[in-house]
Amino acid sequence: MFNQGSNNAPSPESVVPFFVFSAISWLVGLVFIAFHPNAVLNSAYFNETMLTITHILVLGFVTSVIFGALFQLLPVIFIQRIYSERLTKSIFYLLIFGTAGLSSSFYFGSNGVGLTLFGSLLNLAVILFVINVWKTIGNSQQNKVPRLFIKTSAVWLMLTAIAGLFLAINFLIPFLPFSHLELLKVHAHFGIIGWFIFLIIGVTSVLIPMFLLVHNLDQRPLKFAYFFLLFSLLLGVVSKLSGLEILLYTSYGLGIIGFIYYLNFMHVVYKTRLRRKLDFGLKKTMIAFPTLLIVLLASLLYLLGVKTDFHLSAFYIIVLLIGFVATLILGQFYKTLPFIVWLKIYKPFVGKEKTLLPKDLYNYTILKYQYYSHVSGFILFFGSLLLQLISLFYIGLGLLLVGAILFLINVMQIVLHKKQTL
Amino acid sequence: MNKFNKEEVTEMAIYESLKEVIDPELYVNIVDLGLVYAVILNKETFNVKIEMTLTSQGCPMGDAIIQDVEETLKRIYPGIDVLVVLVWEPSWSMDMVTDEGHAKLNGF
Repeated sequence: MFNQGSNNAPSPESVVPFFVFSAISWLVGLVFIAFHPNAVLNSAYFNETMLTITHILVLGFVTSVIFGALFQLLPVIFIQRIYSERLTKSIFYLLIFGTAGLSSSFYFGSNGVGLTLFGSLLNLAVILFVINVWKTIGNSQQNKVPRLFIKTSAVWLMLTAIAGLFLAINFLIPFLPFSHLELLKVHAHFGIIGWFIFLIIGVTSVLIPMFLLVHNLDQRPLKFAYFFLLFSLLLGVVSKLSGLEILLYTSYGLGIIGFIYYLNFMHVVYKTRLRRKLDFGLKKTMIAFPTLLIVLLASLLYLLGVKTDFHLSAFYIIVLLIGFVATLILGQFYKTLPFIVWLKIYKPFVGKEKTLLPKDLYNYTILKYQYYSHVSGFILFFGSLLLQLISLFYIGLGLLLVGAILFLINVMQIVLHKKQTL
Repeated sequence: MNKFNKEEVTEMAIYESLKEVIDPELYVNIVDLGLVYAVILNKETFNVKIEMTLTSQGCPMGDAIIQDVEETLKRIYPGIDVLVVLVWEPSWSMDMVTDEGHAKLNGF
């Protein structure tokens, strides 16, 4: 009758596994970095260990949680039931086997057969995901600009996966008419900017104002951000394939303007929020945004041709992934997973008896220490990359690892929660 | 369970009872959030109609909050028939939050 978000929500069984797999992957990815620090400190595109770590993080940690969260949040944002729950379960198994297989194939020496096989599984997962997202959103008239971002991000994900599969096949049978390194760069940019950033902008532009109680926002900055980022990406691809450097600089310039429009939108949200006091989940979400300024600065330095002791483009990708995307995700976990589990366990008892609240499903002290260790960890981690200091690198990484362990403890506590009576 | 006399139940009493319904995300009750627009009680049939809104359309906790309203009133006033009507006009704004609600949202 009311067509509310929680009425449309899929069953927790079809989304919670994505969250658990993501939390485990975050820890595993950091452990790999601890055992192979040179893969990150001396980042180069075709370093196999770096590719292993990158795929554990971008597929296992980020993409998994995005899939799970999106299947939960699409009904909220667009007030529609998810198109197919059965598809979400198939997508999960394809993603988990594809990620584990692809990462292992990289780790054990870029096995072309393994890369192609597991790359195909991931492509299938992506096709099913895109169908589920597009069919769910359909012609919903809710949140038009975020809808544009989310639908477009699904297309970029598809292109990322196809480019990845081409690279894998090229390992087996070289067929590309140009350098595979150029396609690798395109693959990375499709994934990071096209998939992650478009998706994150689409989702956060609805959810953050909802959590912070902000209404009647001017959507024009978001629209501008959309077009600047879209043209930036397209020009970037053309420049890589054509070798025209001027297009690459134009692409960076447009991208920077797009990010500025988005940051300006989020700044207005933050300044005009009714909810002044933020919980740790929201604090962690909000602290992710200033890291985008570091990304912008790194892009600007690259654009101006400034020479540095470290690989600027690799640095900006690491800051974007571990600084912005990871911090945002670790914060938003606490704004999604406890609610999913709470609705399943306590909704039948709401109003009939006193129940716990979603925030009671996890340990607040653990969250607090997770927050401090993660934030101090990534500051030291980035500092170590800038200064190329190995001791600082290990301290930063150690703190990130502590944060990841605390995070996993809290996630398991939420997932394994049993009903309690007050 | 509280004993009550049907004749003595008032719209104001029901309105006050709704302070037991807490928004699970904001930890503030729906009355102080200004979500309850009207309480219309028919004493003869012992029906109550609650006109209320949510902080945003498609609020993920909306269904749970509506259920909480219905069940809380049925628990406090056994035999009452509750109808919750969601309305979006006027749309909810921060002006509707009580001083107490503001204080809670600001963490005081």
